[in-house]
Amino acid sequence: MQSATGADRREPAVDVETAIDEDAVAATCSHCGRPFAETAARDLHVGEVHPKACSSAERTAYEAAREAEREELFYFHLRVVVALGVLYALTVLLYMVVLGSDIL
Amino acid sequence: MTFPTLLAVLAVLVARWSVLAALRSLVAHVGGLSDAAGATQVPSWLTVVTGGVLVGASFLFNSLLTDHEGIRAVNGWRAVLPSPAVLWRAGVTLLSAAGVAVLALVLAASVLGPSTPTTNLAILVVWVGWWAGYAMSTYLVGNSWPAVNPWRTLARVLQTSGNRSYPERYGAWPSVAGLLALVWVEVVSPLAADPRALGALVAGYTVATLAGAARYGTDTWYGRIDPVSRVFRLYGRVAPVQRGQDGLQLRLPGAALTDPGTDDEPGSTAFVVALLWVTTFDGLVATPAWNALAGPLLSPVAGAGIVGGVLVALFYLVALLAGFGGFLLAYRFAAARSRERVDSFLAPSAVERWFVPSLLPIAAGYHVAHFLGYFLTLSPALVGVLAAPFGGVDAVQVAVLPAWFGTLQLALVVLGHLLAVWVAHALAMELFPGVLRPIRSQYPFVVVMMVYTMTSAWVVGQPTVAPVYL
Repeated sequence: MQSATGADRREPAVDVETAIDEDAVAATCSHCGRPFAETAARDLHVGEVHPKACSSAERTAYEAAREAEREELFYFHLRVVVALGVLYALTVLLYMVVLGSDIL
Repeated sequence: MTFPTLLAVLAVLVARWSVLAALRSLVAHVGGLSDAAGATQVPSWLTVVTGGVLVGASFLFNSLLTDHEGIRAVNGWRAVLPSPAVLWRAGVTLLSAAGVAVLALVLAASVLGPSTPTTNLAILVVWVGWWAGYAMSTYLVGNSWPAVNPWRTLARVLQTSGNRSYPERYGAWPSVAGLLALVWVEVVSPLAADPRALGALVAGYTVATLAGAARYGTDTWYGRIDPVSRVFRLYGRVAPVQRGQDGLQLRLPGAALTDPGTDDEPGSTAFVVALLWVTTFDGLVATPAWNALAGPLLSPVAGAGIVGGVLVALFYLVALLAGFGGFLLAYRFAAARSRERVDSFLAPSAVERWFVPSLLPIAAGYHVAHFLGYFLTLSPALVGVLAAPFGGVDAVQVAVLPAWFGTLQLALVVLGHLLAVWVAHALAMELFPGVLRPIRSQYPFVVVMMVYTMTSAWVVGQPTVAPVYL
């Protein structure tokens, strides 16, 4: 997933915790060994952080995970826009009530 | 009289002026054509709540920005500022010479100058020029401290070659202790008002820092141990002008915080939290609410001479350390919740270290809110005293700030938080896979940031009073 601007994802060299419950690990990245609790998380990680080293199976898995996340993201964004709208309306109303009267 | 007392005097001057201005405008308005309700003041609780709402809304807005390459392109954008080697060396030499000259002038003025603080060059240069004005330049323009630092210049000139190895396990903890100690001394002692005491402190610090540089080597000392250099280096990461491989670069403010960090040593996270806490503490102890809390606790011991004074100072030290511990715990808690939210197996300390750069715009925003007014108000006094370094200034000139300055200060606090939310968003995108996990990881941080915005907006909006019993 090389971008046109060359803005590649840098690989975050972060420490993994030392005492991992092996049952909770669903998948591990085959390139850097980072454990994940969900397979989809690992697939996304491989495609984003190790794009050049991916095998074609890994790339397919990455695309599938992205597709699944895209749908979930759409509904999430809908909720965010609604929340922004409601927050804005409530703030304006609050100011109207406070500045226009002695109620608050 | 301490530094916050100086602020209190100025606050009274400003308040008197703004009350007169308000009365004038009220009279004008009543006599005006419009009989509708006049401009009502926004109550302070609403201003505080609005600050929190803005930070929450900015998080929601950021969660709509999910293009990894786009975020990286925005943060990575840079314009190279031409800096030929000759010009660079000349500039560095000039800055270093200026730094040493100012240090010499401050030491001389602390001994030879008048003892009223507002006409003494040492007091004004150190507190108004350096602690307020120069510190603001490090995060608004760029970190020039490695060049300006007079002690570093002196250490280099004296060619003290220290080669004692610095134990790795100490990390940044000595500088954490140094920062807390410096702020404690600044709050409890009359350094802000007594030029001789200030001169003694500067001389003492000179000896200590040159000895440290002699022992451990200039680069190690100023790069890792000296708290002042570390503060300016961290503030410098918020600034637009950054030092790149080929010279100076222009970046977006705060963009350098998303660069891969090199602060891996133990305690570097704690230092950033400490920096944030001490800027809050400085403002907190000058509020009426603090005096209401501390007054009854300290009144039994306050009158007891030297012992009472020591106990009061210890009380402030305990408050400083307790607040630092509280802030550290809150940050660790937020990072731990963030990590749990995305079921991450990363080490908790790694997550804390990864997100800590996002705290720096908050510290910078609070610092500028706290000190811009102070700097502007006393800048005529500073200019006046530079013309007559060793006395001879009779009337202290201060600038009077307009009534809307308070709102500007609140806006700067909120602006710092907005930048912090963006930086944290960008950092999360680089750490956790996908798009939804980084967004969800930010929930605990945003909640903490909203609470902190509202608290610091409240502190900034309070009238400044002298801390009790100091």
